[in-house]
Amino acid sequence: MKRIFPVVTLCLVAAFAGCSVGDDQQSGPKDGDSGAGGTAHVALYTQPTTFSPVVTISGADQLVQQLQWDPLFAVDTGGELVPRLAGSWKPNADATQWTITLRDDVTWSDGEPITGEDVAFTFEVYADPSTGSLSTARFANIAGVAEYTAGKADSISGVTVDGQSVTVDLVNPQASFALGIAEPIVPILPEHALDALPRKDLATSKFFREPSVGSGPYVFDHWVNDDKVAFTANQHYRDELALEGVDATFLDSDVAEAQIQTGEIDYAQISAAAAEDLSGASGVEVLSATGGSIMGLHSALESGLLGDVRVRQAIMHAIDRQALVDTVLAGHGQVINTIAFGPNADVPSDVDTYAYDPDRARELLEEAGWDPSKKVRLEIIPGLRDREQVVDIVAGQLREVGIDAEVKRFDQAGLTTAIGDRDFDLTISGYGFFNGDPSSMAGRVRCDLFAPNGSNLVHYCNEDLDQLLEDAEATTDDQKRAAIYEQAQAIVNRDVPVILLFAPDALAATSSAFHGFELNPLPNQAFWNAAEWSKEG
Amino acid sequence: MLRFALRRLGISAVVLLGITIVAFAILRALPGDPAEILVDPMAANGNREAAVAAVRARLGLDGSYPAQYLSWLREAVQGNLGFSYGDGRPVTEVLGRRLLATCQLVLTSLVVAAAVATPLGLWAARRRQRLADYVVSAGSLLAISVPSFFLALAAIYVLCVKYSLLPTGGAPSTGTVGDTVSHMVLPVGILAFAMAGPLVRYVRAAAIESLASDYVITAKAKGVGELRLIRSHVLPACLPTLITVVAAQLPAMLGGAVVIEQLFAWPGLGRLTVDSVLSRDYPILLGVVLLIAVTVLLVNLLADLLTAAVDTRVQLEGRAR
Repeated sequence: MKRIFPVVTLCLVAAFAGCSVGDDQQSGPKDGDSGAGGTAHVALYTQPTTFSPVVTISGADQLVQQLQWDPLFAVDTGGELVPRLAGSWKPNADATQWTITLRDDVTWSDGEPITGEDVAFTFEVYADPSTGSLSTARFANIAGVAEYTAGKADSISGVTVDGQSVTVDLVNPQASFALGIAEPIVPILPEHALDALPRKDLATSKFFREPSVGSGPYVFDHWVNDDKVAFTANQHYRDELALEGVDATFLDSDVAEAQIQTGEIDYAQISAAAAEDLSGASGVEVLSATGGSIMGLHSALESGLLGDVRVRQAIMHAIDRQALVDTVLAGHGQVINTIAFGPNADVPSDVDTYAYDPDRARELLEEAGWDPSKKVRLEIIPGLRDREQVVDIVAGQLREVGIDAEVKRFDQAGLTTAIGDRDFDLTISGYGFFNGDPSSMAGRVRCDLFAPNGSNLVHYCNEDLDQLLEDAEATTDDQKRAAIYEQAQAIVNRDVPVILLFAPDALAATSSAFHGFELNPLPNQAFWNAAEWSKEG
Repeated sequence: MLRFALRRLGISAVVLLGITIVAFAILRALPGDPAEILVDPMAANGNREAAVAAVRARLGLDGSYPAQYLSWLREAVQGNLGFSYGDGRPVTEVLGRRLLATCQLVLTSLVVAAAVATPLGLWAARRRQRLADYVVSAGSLLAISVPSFFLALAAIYVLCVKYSLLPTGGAPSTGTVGDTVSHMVLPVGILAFAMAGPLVRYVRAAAIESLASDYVITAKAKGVGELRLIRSHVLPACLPTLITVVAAQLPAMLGGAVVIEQLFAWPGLGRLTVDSVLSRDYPILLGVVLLIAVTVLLVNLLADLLTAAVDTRVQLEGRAR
């Protein structure tokens, strides 16, 4: 036995030192002109799991999907739509019909042309709940969708294809239709690769784990391991690409911060605290842009606890929101007073800014007959430092004005159950794209979009507001739209359907050798211009 | 010995069945429905109820619990542990990749820890209550008490960020020996350091006991040299202890290296387990439980057999008859 031990030791060390965790595959450039300038290494903030855009609309999956798939149009850094597969898109005068024309030079990575048929197929997949689609509401306004999903029609009658041109007829006017399918991104899917699969199995199809066809600038090559995906330049991409490939890896935020400093990665999304740490670090660029997402507290309004608008207004006055931005975000954010915000959101100049005023908060609570013995939970999923700091500060400030607030921690499953049971008081959550067109607020406030069948999570309903939103969608006259949206914004500002805290800035760090990266305000759109990336050395 | 092994294997099969039933029941008792989690209420925009129903049907979550368990068991005995709820891959494939990664980390660490701890423990025992003993004992206490995450962060800062000597993390991917070794040095070093702490103490205690025993005193009196004394008499006496401790540590390390895996971005079983608990990925979790249970049972059996092989005083049941 005494001779066995060292032998076993040597064998084990040799065996394990010689093997690698990932597949030992080296991706290299394929035939063609594109992709000769090295590989970019980018960090993902969650683990990538699927290339199916139908069942994921957030997190790292959307980032890797942006490399793999092109949408009809993308949202640029200014919140404007820019062409991708579509060369043009325009509504008719009353916004009941949209005509989208695809570019002639777009092909799949296997050389097959991308046509209007692919667009019609994609719309069917997204509109059909049996695919597990998370985006059915965004397609529900297309004429014929109801018949199609009920099984009474083989295709969506409102979608007509003529070569590269796709005409979409809508049930109700919708001037924001194009924007509605731009964010979250709706990539176009390859009909020739997917049509044979049963729709209900699409989400778990092997194709979406290891797609053999793509339309984006960099297409799937192989999974290096469960955390890392290797992409290679798409040789059929319409523009010439500078990189040979892209490696996308899930990294814990601390690890990503360290690796950006050592030059092991070229891009990472970072927190406000990391931005402070990294500013001035050599070889690292810290990028900042006005963010498009909002951070808010959400309550099941019908439960009665926060049903009275005066209580919600009191909470707005009780929280020192500017101090949250200054301390928690180190100044990288802005206080907002309407769900849709920013220069293009038609926010009237005289909206209530809900200045920090604990006395006013107490007055409003008294008017509302608030019972100080009522317990109010601040629900949070632990793990994100800024959110944890926010709820701790907010709980203290609410207690100061007489609201007995306590922080309650849930895991994802527990909170999902509580939301499903409509049993939540003040749930902190951040999401969305709200610093562009004001139509973006509709999903969160319309009476017909109550969760679980829509994204009006809090079940807020105001029929006057609904009418204004409907009127705004029915006109393509910019001035008329703006006037209507100003009235809508005033209602949202007054009614406080969501306790709006702030809009955090988008922050990222890139290596100095990495060029062409333009920081998008939306974290899930970070790879929106990957075709323009390049790298030195 | 064969009869003993077969009997233990038979009992193990029954224990395994019991473990799967208990694990299945505990998992289903957790609050939260995987179908609800997959259709995130914060992100869903549309008919969420229909989407949840579609997901539930697709995952086979619409039957009764006993029916779900029996269907899982029927497939499991044929080698099919189901499919991950998260990405739809076969559980065996996911576990296989993660197990390889974890084994690479944990077994290498264990070997390094044993290789370092054994001579240190013997040395400390030989120099009992002298400076060397105090230094080794203090070192082992330090290894036990310093949290791995602190050591890992400090090492990353100094060795990777400050002096750029090693990569900060990530699993080796190019397959070259240099790449593999450079990625493994830190996580293996830190895991081995943590494992070596208790090992040193066990080896030291066993060696002290052995050094005081009659046969060692006799050997010494007969003029046996120091090195031969340790190699032929003391070390063999320590091996049963070493084997028992390693056997107890190994299964725990399979799922327990989660902090190191997280900090070094190492895609192993520990992280998979934590992620699967949070997302209620039942098939993966049952697979992990099964894997760890099998490992515990097999390693314990192996430890008993090895102990009998290295220590003639131990009589296995089968051999006694």
